[in-house]
Amino acid sequence: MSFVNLQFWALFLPLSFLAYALMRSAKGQNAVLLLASLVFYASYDLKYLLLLVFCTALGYLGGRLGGRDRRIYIAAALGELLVLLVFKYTGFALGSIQSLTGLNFSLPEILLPVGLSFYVFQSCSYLFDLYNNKLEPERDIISYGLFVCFFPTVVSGPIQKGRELLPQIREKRKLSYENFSFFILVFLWGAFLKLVIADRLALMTDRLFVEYYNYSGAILMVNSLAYTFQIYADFAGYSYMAIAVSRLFGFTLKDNFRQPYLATDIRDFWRRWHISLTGWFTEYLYFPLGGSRKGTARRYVNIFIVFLVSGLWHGAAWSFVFWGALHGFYQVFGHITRPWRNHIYDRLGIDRSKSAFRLGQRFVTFSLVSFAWIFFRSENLTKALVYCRNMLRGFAPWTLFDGSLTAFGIGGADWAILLFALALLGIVSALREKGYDSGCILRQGMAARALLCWALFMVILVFGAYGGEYSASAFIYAGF
Amino acid sequence: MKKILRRSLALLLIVIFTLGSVWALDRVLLIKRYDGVQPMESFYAQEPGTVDVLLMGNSHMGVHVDTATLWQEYGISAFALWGGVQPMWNTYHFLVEALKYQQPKAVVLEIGGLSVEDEYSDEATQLKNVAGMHLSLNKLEAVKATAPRERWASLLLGLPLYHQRYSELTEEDFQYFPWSGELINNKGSYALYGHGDFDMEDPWAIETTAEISEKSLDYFMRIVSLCREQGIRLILVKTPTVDLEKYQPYSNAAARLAEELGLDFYDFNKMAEETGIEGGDFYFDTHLNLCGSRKLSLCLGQILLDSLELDDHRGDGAYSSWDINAESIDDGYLLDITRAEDYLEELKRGGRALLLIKNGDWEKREPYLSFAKELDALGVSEEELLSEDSGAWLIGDGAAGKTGAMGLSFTIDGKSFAVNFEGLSAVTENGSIVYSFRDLGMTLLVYDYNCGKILDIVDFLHTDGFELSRN
Repeated sequence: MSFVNLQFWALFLPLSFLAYALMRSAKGQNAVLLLASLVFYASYDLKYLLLLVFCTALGYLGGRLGGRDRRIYIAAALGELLVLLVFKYTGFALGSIQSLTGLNFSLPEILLPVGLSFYVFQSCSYLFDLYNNKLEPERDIISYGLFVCFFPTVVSGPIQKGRELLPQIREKRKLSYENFSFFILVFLWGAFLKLVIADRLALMTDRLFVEYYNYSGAILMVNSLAYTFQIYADFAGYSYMAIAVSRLFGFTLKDNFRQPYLATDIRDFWRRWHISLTGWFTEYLYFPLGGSRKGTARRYVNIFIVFLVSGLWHGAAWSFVFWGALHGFYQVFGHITRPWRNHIYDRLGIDRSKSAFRLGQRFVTFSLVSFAWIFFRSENLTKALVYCRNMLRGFAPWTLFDGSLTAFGIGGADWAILLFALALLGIVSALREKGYDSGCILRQGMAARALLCWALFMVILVFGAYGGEYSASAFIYAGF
Repeated sequence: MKKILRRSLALLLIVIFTLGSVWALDRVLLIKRYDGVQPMESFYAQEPGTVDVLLMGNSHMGVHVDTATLWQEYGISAFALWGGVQPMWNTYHFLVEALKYQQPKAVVLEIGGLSVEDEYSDEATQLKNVAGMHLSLNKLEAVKATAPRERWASLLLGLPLYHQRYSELTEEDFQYFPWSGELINNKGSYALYGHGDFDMEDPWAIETTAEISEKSLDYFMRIVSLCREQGIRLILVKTPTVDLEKYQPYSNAAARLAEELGLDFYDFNKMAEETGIEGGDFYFDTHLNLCGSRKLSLCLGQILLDSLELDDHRGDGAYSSWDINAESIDDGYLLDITRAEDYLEELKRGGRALLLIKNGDWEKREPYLSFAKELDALGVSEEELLSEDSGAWLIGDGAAGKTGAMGLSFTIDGKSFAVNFEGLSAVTENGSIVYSFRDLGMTLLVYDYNCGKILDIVDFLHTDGFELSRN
């Protein structure tokens, strides 16, 4: 069950909300939400619910027992990470050993439980915060259970820190008209990103990242650009929906994306992209490794370590490791060359405060990020390299205009809608960059808000890529 | 408190407006399939209590029985409520839906649906056999019978499955609103225009009996029970097909079932003498063309008249939509005709204004003489035709005009037409050229009162030996 599923809207959300609204205490509200969260998670796969319960119990017990010996916090966190290691990386590790040694043995088939990386990191953040005395252990198992299993975030984040979410869990939340308005507006925006942009672009990228060897030049470039927007719209869309649903129940979560494609350098990009994960790595890995406090060389090593681990966190494959390494390289290279670049700008008389200069920086950053996504999306490293090779030969710009692009699941009208949707995303991003957020809309009169939400809803309903694929051709032989 | 009330009211209004918008959107984006969807949607538009005979089943019913012939020849107000490859479960739920709005005297059921052996049809067939139904408990039951659980929600709502049609919308898509008023004129049957040529096998030679699947049989029995409960005469038919190898064993099974249940069953494959259907009456091996369906409908109509007390509704203003339906089917047939004698024969059915133009003169010998004789039967004097060099004749009710030395001008439905032999050498409608003379010969412009426009323009050129040609 996802946020854009009929079951979610017709049954799960109304029933959960109704039961929640009837509760008079924080405890009651938490119990309802925990139960709803377990049902939500079980709808993905019942057997992995046990793993979620196990990780929750481990975190809770670690938190309760760690008061006697602080090493228990670390042991519990390592236990959580071990679960992640076993379920996510066993196949990858054994596969790598197999290719390196040439040994022939059968690889175990372990399916990755939904949201494992997210809720393990969330549990670890709680335990690390306890270890660092930034948080008091949670005594109420329902409150702690809700912290880990909270259904809007358990599957795909944003990753919450105990010190941010637990205080909200302990207090009774008030249901308000303002929260409801926020929920409708932000959820629709998230659904727009996910269904109108991401899922439609996926029709093309899913195909071209498999059949890339048949194409070259401009087509593959457009495809990698398409994926750049797809992954953002997909992930940010989900995050907005999670934030919106949380607000409906009275929780305030921080933004997980802040116009990442308007970043002026790679470091800036990571301050804007998947903010909750970047924050996690910064606080619980980069800083403990020494951060930038132990000299420049060590700083670069630390950056590389963080990005390599981040790559692995995103997926158990060498292509993800390479993607992480590439971002590490971008950052280190950027840092090393900054004085020289600044020197050149000064010599050429380029004013770095001008918006044209920032536009150039944004373009370069966007291009670098977009290029790196090829490694993220490709099935493996070899395929990613072949993709890049094909992309860089036989540019053939005319293929962008001769109708070739309509052959990959996105028709002419769909492209027009996509371009319109992307333009809207661009405008909204620019406005947010200037400080206009959802609050500006929510402060408008009801008629204006209602009209905007209605328009968004209708656009999603018609132009969203959801439901079964209607195809006129499917009827040709079904006529009689 | 006042604030809460105001907000609640506003929210309610927003919800109502949004639901209304979604409904309108659904009307526009709905797949307008001529089978399954269009028949069901058109059925809802019929005046309650006007349908005397329901023709139900798969395409063998929708295509093989012509509601126009039943109406024109016998005054039977029949409606074909069918879907392509429709299994019995969908037919059953169509019947349940139909009986909410009409009290037919008979249900004629094509038993081809009994040949469906799979638990579920393919996805496209599933959609077209439920998409036309209004949201109701019956639709929910239909959906549950039609598809596996994971498709229930999308099939029930429909929009998730066809919302992406936005890029293929046509004018027709905006006519599915209650106030559009067009659907009432569609009586469900679908005509195939064109000829195949097939050898007819001997149905008596196939004596095997097919085993009907449990699900098909279950829903067939539900149809039987429902008709009995409602006091509706159920008549089973197997309409003609060339593919006897597939269908005859099911016909034999249906014959046995009918005998056991005391139902009427007409296997038209075994009634070729009564229907007069032959190989040329097929469009392709499993479906009749309009000629074939007219023949079958003549035979079926007579059976219905003999076995039921059916009123002849012709001339009754409440049933005028059956006239329009018949004209529409006839128009389609006319446009498809490629032989001159068939064309002139079809025009004798009337209901249209004809403008005959003779452009030039030529020797009065065959085949012109025979052609002139045929035109005489349409109302153009043979003598006058043979004596004039060039001229124009207007034939048909409701058309007023006058002949002049250089042409003819007249009005139909308030539109001004003119035939000009000099200068323009053309026919104009409200000043715009609709036809320019091509060559020596005769031209027929057929104006259809039903669709309110020139339906067809055909030439019978001297150089072609007065064979029919279209520009």
